[in-house]
Amino acid sequence: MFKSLLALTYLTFAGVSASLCSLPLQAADLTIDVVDTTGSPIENAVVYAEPENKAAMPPASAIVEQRGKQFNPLVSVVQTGSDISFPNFDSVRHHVYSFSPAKTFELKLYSGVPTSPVKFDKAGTVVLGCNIHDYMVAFIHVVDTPYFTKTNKSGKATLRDLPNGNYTLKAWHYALAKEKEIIEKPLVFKDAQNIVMQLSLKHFMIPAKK
Amino acid sequence: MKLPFKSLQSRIVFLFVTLILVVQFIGFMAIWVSINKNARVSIKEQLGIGEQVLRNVITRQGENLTLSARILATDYGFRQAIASNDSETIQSALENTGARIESDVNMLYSPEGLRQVVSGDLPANIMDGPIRHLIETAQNGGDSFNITIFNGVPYLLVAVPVKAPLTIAWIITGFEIDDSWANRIQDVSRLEVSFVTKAGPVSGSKPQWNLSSSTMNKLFAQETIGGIPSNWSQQTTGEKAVFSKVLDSEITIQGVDYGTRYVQLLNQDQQVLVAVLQRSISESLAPYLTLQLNLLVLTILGAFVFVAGSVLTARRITKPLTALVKTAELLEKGDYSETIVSNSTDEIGHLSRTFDRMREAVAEREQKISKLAYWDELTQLPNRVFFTDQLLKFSENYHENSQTFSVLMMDLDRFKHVNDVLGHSAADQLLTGVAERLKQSCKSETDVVARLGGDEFGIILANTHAQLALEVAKRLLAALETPIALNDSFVDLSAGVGIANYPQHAKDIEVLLSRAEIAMYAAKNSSGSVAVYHSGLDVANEENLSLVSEIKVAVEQNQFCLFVQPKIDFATGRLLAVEALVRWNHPERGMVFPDMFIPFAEQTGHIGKISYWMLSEAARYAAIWQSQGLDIAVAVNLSARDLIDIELPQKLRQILDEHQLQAHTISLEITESSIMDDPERALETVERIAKMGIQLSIDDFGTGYSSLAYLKRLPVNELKIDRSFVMDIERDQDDVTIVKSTIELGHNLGLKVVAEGIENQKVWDILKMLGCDYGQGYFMGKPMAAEKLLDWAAQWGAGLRQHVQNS
Repeated sequence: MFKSLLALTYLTFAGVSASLCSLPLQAADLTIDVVDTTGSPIENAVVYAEPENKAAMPPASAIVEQRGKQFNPLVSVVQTGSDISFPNFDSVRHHVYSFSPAKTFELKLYSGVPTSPVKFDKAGTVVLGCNIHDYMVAFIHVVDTPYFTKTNKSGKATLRDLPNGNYTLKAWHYALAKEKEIIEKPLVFKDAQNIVMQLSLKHFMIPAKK
Repeated sequence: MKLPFKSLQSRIVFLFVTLILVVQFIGFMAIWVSINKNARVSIKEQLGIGEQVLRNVITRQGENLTLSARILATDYGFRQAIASNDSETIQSALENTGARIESDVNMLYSPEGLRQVVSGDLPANIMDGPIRHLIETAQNGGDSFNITIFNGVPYLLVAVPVKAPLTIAWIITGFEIDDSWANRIQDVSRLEVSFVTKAGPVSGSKPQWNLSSSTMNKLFAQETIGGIPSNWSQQTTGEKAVFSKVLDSEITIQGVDYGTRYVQLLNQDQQVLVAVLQRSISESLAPYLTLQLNLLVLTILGAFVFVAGSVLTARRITKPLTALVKTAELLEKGDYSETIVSNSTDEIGHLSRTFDRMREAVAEREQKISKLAYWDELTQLPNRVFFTDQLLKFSENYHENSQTFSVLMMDLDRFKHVNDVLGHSAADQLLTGVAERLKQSCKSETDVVARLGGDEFGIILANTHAQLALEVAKRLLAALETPIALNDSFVDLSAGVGIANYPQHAKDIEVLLSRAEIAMYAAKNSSGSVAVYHSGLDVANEENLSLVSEIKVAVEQNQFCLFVQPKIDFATGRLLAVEALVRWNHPERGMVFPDMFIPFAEQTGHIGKISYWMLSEAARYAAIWQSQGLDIAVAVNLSARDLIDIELPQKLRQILDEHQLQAHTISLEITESSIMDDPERALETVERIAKMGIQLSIDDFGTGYSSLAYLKRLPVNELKIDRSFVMDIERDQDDVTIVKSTIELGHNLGLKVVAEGIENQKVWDILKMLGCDYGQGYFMGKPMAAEKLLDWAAQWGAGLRQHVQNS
């Protein structure tokens, strides 16, 4: 299921790349390794590059499904203005809510796919919960740039076909020691390169399914 | 151990009671110690349970707080209010929950530990530090509740996160640990509960122990603080010290001992909370005290039962002993009548029976002994000792009932002669016979007849007087008149009886007896048979007594003088001889007759000297008279004592030689009885004297136990008929017969016969007619001083002789 989600994301990126391709710009892949203070790789870290000049990109859509009384994926990253759909694949009903300032909403007890997706038009972190199941949690990080990705299990992420230019490279993780702090790094991108970003995390337990 | 008890009974009782008291005391103490120990153990158990209750209450309350906070934390609306930062709503929600569980603290903290919303009346100086600490602890999965002290007051606080779904806030809720807690714990555990706190420096002052709540009077509860160990307030850094320390001790509050357990509930960040659990020891002992009291009552009852039992036992032992002692005391006094009856089979019963047998044996023996002591075996009469005892009793009786009594003392006449002539066996028979007659005559039970010794008998006549006694005495003498048969022969009896009356004659028994005796001797001397004591007798007696003592002096100082009485020949009227008679020329009394002193002289042994003096004087006068031409014989009386003097013939020879006299100048007169004392020796002496040519005559013939056998053997020349036969011869034909027979007897034996007591012519004539050889008497001549004889002889020769013969 995770793979299909990834595939969807790639499709989205592919669309973006296609639109960029029309510009006479040089582009290459930027690979990032996110590690903690001990050098261990960090999974599910959101990495995104904000260009100096805002690039207007059509927003995409995403899905955060509820399956097995869990949100999936745990961490999603979308560009502002994206619509996210919350399909419920469980037999029980869920009551999805967020009290986060970036997007406060609730989808009262429902099953199946809600009639309309939720539009996330403000950059920031949205913590999702279920009022029925206290332990269900998911994070949606809304960014103002089309160049974003998140690390895999080995802490690696790749921003493909990133046009050359000046960027601010940012990283976020839900267990960041300082909440609401985003790690930033100025980036002058010319060619494919690999960047290591170090995050300071606190102990954070994702509540286990009961 | 020496006990200050004289009686066996009290000793036994004391011993028993002491033993039971010691045993009871030891038991009592053992139970007391055990109860105390048990009470303390039980208190310790109760304190342990109390501690458990305390912990449970804290835990339960913590859980209650947590639960209610959780309910609030999961409320969607509440979370929504927090998310929308709607403090008013939040506060009212907190208040609502607080009211529901009656919590004292209700607050909301941000995840960062900032106080955000507060409800209720919170302590003024509530501090965030401990709460943050609590939140952190809770965050890290530790205890979600904790105790914190604000302003000396302990609070139980819980921190519960509000999740959406991440923690968006902390609910802090809590109870004040106040009196209600203490009461609740007391309700379950029955212990006194106090909470004592010590909080960190508030305003720089040194932290003090502070009593925050208690079930006890606060003033009393303050005193529990002193028992808290000083090191309990020392901070142990980094170490969590909830429920860490427990201490048991005993403290005294207002005189009441408490088993006390201190439980340190908190010692953190300079905050100390100690719970004090207490149980009054005396209260715990109270039910035991009732038990003790019951036991004490039982002990006392037991002791009483024991005392009663031991007294009974001791009595059982000592009662027969006391009876034995009483009987023994009676035995000591000589009363053997008390018998001892014991049916018990134990040692004391055995002792009693043995004692009783001893009593019987002793009584029997004493009866024998006293019989020997008080009894005359021969006559089967009481003896003198018994007699004297009886007299004493009679005299004692007199003092009680004024019963007079008389003492009769009787002495047989001539008993000695019976003894001498017929032998002891016959004499014994005689005494037995006399005793028998006395008994017959005194049949009154109260009369006492006793043999006082020898031939002397004593009789006590109860309740009588002198006249009556005199009659009884006469009756007695009459009873003796019948001759007594001894070995086929009959013996005539006579006796002298003296009577003395109590208290008329003497109030002293000894005096009474001696006076009866005096009367008796008076009776015998006066030839009457009975005499009642009178004071005149006493005087005579006293004279006698003094004479006895004076005889010796008389002999030494030659106070005697010789008298003579002429002895006349019936046929010729010539003076043939004189009888020498002694007179005591007493310096004070004048002339004393021989009857008055010769018996005493015989008794005292002076008679020998008197006789010797008489012989010498007789010889001297004989010699004088011879020289004057009067050739007469001088007759001297000899006593029994003289006759057993073997030197007598030699002495006679000496005297005759001294005065150059022929043997026939001296003649000797002896009585039959004087020979009877020691007939063998007397006969020997008499024979030797006779051989010397000295004439012998039997004096007082017919009055004694005249034994013709002796008369036949005696070498006598003469019989002197006793004056008693002569004096009444002119009136009494019997006397004539006796005298006539005696003269014939004498003549037939070749003896001359002399008659004494011739007082008139008629008697002279009768005797002359009867053929009597010689005569003596007042009619011819009274006894006269020896020196006057010559004058008398001259007169006699001149005319008197004629006168006698011719008339």
